[in-house]
Amino acid sequence: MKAASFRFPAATLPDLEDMRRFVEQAAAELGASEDAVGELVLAVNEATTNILLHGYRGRAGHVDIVVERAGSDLLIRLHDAAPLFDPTLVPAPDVTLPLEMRAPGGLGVHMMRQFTDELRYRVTETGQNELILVKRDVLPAPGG
Amino acid sequence: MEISMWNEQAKVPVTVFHLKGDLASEELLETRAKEAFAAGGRDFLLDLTDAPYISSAGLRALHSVYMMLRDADPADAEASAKGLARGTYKSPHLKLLNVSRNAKKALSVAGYDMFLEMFDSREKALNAFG
Repeated sequence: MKAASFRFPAATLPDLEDMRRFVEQAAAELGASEDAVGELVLAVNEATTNILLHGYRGRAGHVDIVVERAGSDLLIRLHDAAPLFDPTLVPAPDVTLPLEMRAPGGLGVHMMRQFTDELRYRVTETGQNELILVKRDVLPAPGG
Repeated sequence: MEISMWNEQAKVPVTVFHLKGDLASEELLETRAKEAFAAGGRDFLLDLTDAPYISSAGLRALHSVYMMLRDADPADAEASAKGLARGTYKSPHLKLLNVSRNAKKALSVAGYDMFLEMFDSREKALNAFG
């Protein structure tokens, strides 16, 4: 298997669990280690939560998830039609501050950054959000 | 996610929360914790044996529960003010049991492992209260 995709045409928050399980299974089938799979699930869960909660504001909206190999790298592409938003521009929270002094929010994007090697954002040709989460050198050679 | 709750008597009464499913939302845990708090519970053990993942929403729920318990105990509030920055403080009122590898990573990137004690043994966890 080189790639797996899952289309959620009218996703809402209860679908997040199915999204996590899909990513978990697809990344494992590509041969990613248990550690890499777990980190990707944590990162993708934050990204998809943001899409559903802040992008679609709790209303149903479509989310496509593609899990694919690029050499030894694992890429997860998320497409959605919510208002354009680039999460890679969200500033990092200071997690060393005392709890009551921390600004709310930002923790999800912080987790996305911590659990991936790269986050790429672009607007697709059809004017939709595309977020690519990259985990480097986590896949065995094809056929190996 | 489902949460079942019961009380156990250690050195102090401890409310045990057993979470079944990922801790990926805030509402349920916060609601159940408030119920237990309203009933007089002040020491909570979260059993995460069956909660493989924690999301940022789950972390916010833990934060909120931690703050509720801390604010009810002036001595804890004072200890946390002194010890958090030094890394010597652990919450005396909120502890975690059987935290998965992935859940530990989430706690760690948020810095929550600095003040939430984790146990692999229920008996040791219960005895750490009071």
